[in-house]
Amino acid sequence: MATSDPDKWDRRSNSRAVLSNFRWVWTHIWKGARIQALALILVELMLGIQPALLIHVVRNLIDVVVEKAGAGIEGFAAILPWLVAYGGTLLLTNKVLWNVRDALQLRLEQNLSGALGRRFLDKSCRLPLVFFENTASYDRLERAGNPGRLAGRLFSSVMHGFESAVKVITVAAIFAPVSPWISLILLAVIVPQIRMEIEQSRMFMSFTYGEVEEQRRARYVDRLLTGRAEQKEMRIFALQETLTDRWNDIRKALRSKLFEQRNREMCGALPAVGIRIVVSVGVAIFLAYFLSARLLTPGGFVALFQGVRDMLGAGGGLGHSSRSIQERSINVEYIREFLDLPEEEGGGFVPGGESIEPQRKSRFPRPFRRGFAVEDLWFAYPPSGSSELRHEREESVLRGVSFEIVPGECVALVGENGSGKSTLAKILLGLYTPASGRVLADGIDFSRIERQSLSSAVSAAFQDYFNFELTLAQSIGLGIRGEAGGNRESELWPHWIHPDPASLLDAAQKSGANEIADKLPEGFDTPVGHVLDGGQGLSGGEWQRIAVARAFTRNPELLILDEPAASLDPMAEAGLYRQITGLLENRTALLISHRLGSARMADRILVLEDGQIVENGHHDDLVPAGGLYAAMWKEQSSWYQ
Amino acid sequence: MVSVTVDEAIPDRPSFLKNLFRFLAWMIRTDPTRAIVLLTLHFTAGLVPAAMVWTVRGLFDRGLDVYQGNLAFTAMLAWIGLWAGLTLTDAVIRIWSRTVLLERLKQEMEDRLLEQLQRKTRTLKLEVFERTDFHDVLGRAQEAATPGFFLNLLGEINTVITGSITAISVAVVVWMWNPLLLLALILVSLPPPISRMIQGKNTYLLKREQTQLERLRAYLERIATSREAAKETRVFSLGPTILGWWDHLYWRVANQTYTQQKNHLLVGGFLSAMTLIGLAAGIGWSAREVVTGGLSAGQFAAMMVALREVSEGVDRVAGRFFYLANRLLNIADLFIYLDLGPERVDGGVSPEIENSELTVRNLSFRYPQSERSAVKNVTFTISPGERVAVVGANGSGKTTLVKVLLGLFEPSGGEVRYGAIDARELDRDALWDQSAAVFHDYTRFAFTLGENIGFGRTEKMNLSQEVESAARLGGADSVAANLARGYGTVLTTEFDGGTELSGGEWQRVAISRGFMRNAAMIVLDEPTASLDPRAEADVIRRFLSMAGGRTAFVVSHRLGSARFCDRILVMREGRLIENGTHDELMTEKGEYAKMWDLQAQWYLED
Repeated sequence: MATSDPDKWDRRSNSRAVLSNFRWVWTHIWKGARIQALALILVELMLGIQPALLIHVVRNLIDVVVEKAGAGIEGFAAILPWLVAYGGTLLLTNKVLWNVRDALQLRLEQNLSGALGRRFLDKSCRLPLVFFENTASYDRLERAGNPGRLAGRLFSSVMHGFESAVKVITVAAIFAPVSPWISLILLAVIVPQIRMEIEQSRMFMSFTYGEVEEQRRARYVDRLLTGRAEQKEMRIFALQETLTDRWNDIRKALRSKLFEQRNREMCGALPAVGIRIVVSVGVAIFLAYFLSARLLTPGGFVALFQGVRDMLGAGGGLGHSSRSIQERSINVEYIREFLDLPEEEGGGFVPGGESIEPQRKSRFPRPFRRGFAVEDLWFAYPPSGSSELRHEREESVLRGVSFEIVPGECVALVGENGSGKSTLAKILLGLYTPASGRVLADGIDFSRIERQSLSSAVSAAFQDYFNFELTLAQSIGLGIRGEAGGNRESELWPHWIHPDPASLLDAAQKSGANEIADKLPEGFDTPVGHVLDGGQGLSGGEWQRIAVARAFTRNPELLILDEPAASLDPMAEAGLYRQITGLLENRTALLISHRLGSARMADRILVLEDGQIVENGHHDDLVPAGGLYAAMWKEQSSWYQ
Repeated sequence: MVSVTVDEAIPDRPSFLKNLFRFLAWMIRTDPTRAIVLLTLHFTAGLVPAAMVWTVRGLFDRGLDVYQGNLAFTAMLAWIGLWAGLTLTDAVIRIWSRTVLLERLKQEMEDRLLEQLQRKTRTLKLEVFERTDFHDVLGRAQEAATPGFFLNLLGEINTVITGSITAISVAVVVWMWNPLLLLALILVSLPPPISRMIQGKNTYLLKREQTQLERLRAYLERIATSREAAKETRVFSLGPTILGWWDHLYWRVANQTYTQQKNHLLVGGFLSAMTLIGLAAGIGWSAREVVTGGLSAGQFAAMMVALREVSEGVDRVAGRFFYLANRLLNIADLFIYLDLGPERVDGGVSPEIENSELTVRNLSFRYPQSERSAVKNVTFTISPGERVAVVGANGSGKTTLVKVLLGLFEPSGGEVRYGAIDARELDRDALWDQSAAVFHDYTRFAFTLGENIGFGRTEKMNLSQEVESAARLGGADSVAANLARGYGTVLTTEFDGGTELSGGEWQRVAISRGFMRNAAMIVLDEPTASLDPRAEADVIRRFLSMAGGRTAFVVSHRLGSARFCDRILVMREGRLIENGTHDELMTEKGEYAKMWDLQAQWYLED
């Protein structure tokens, strides 16, 4: 999930942004993982001191060994304490502390993920539906995924940087008594190292930006050539050769670009290596000189010789850290952007944090008496990138729609694809907010009704329903807390998660979903789909019946069925519509369907064309009227005359 | 090559070493020069630490002499130079092999692999794709073809080879000085691999237990964040439920994982104690040897370097080994896929569809690994130029039947003849050259509108007249008229600058693609599923008005379209139960008549 834009990289990677993002992460860490964070800082401090400590110990150990060389076994006693110190230092800091660090880092990330992950999901559930239907804004959601881990990674990058910094300072300090100049040179070398790492990073980022699109193209064509669903057409239309040629062309272009990039990387890395070797050799020569002048003991020589390596390594570590801190800071920024997204109210976006919708005070009027009224409704989707490419796409999908629905009525909504039927349904469900005009229930404006209350009063089975692959009971009744039904707390289920089957039975019988339960080994408790172990596969028609049952479970005041028979063959479709007529007896319902035969059963038919209601009446009145409905009716029924 | 028949189970993965060697052999075959250079470089880089140990020893002995005033400090310069040379060599090898050399090799391998996968897909029998396990096998094989895969794999092989060589060479150097020191070395080296093995096994077991929990958690996340579930989540106020459940699952898994990590701490601590013993023993012994004169101080200093090198090196190898083993599993899957069969065997005879009768006798077809036949004992004859409707309930075998007629599947029993030529003898490519199909799940190519249509006949793709004429026949001309860039508009939003069409518009494009082929036999499979009445009527009219002696099949469960066909085939549970014109079947008052009445009942005047 790298930055996809070189300009953004420059803009977002300045130190103020990084600092601000780190502060944000720190606030969350402080709230939820304080102990782990403080312990980690301590651990990193100890790890940072290790090289300097080791230099000190090794120096003394070697000196004492050199002193006692050939002195016989009695000399061993003098060596022993330094031996223990060496073993202890190495072991403690390398093995034990690394394991401790891993455990602490894990817990920190877990705590962060628990908190931020939950906030991420919560935010996602609160965002208005239009957000999901706009590709550009939806990308933001995807970029902010896994926020806890990303935030944790930023923290760990900063910790590594801290560790490297401590190393650099302490080792430089050890060189100082021997020669302050060496200290200064070693410190000075770090700056170009860091700069080179960052430059490499920038080169890499800008290259990745360009390359990604081409690679995606190549992979797309490859997917066509090897995908299962595409094979039939590949063979019949003999497309393999054409597509293979295309693939080869893209790959060839890509290869030379990639190769150039690697060359550049190599050339970019060589100066850094050169500097390190030159500095190491230079320092080594100086140390040799000091040794000969007896300003340095042999132990000191060996230890400091190794110390140069440690120092340069730490410098590289600092460079690497700065690079990863910048990258991860950008990821955190995406997360913050997402979490700061406004939740909707009114016709557009207004800033909001927690869900504050103070004007939603009323409950949905029950008992429901006068019915629904829609007054001069206008609605348009937020503009998306591809809209300029179409000539005739109208701006507004609904243009001044007005009608009424009386309680107990079954109203059919018909019209061509794109006329606005589904959009209108979503507005009646409270999923969209109109640009202008209003929807009233018993005279109360929808925008004043509490969301929970509204959602329990208006329910739907969608044309593109979602298959909830849980147990059959949950698929129908997820969200209905089952106090009575569940004392089956386990790893998988919190105790309140099972909806009570008895309460579902009613809804299930209405849509025929109970027949599905009869066929399954554990009835309503059987897992369906592929997510849970032992899940049973269901056919399209069976899933559709579940969706319809779901709509009935809330006992809504308005039931919307959008193409409820789309997945069914004629026999099953006939069966469903027969049932529905009975079920909708005393219910207020809106039925959207292409099959005008089903519209015929409705009390009233609304005909939608280009976002406006052009006809409104019963079938027996509309056919003789000779308008759009009559034309569509003739079209469909003529096949069967 | 293990040729797996359509029904057989896929063989188990071979052992780790077998995989590794097969992969290395493949790597060398793909690009012999670079592969061998790379392996040689790894080998050489592996020897550098041993050389370093030797150099440190020499440098320090020389240094001691300098300190004691026996030599001038310039005597050390040669050793410093040697040390610098070794460091430079190591750095250059690393950089060069990691960037340029590796890149070329990786590209070669990727290209070669993808080519082989593509070729394999082309030659496999289509039935194989219907296997239930096929999807998994292909998926895992394709994982090996993702960009980072080979890079990482080669990197891990690098680490393992280099690390092993280092450990061995340093051990040799130390052994030459004092065999007992080698023992210390071994003691130092053992804990990391053991520790990782234990950790690995525990982690694997835990992960297996947690799989369902994790899957469910990920699924809940999907419900909360995906487009598909967004409407229902809001309409049914599922948010709080999902979040509460997610919390429950998340913390279960997290706590289990954390507990395991803490256990690893203890195991790690215990094993570290062992390492401490080994280290102390090693250094202690070396020190003892120095004081009793058996070892020089230089050797002592070198020994300390050696111990550190080996310990770190072995740890690294042990870690990478694990990843390598995992990646090689993917490679194994890759080889399994490439060995998969059966492949197509074509006869050589070209049919002439245009004037041939299509005779089907006792045709049966069974999907792989399935017990019941999808098509059972079907018999009928189609004259050239007939319009045939194939109707029946979902799952009656309609689509499978036409796929067999199109030569996509081979009959399991019975025969299909195109004129005098049996399906088993014919050249499939020739058959396909003369047929066209618009499937229910036609592909929406992320290319231009013109190409989407032109793919119907790639030889003529660039002739705009042909494309436009096909578009007129199929109804895509109105789609082009609505687009600012007409036939040059890039479709789907897969890539930047593309635009999405509605379901009805795509249907016209797909039908135009079919017309582009100008084929003697054309098949439409559920062409009107998502269309509104007028669009549906339009499609049916176009279908019925196709000019010339084209044999056409339309598969549908909308009986309105069947009515005006020359022949209707009624399928149920794989069998052909009725065959005739609409009027004939209505008179029979059989299944067709019943279905017809069911559909028509809504439309009849009272």
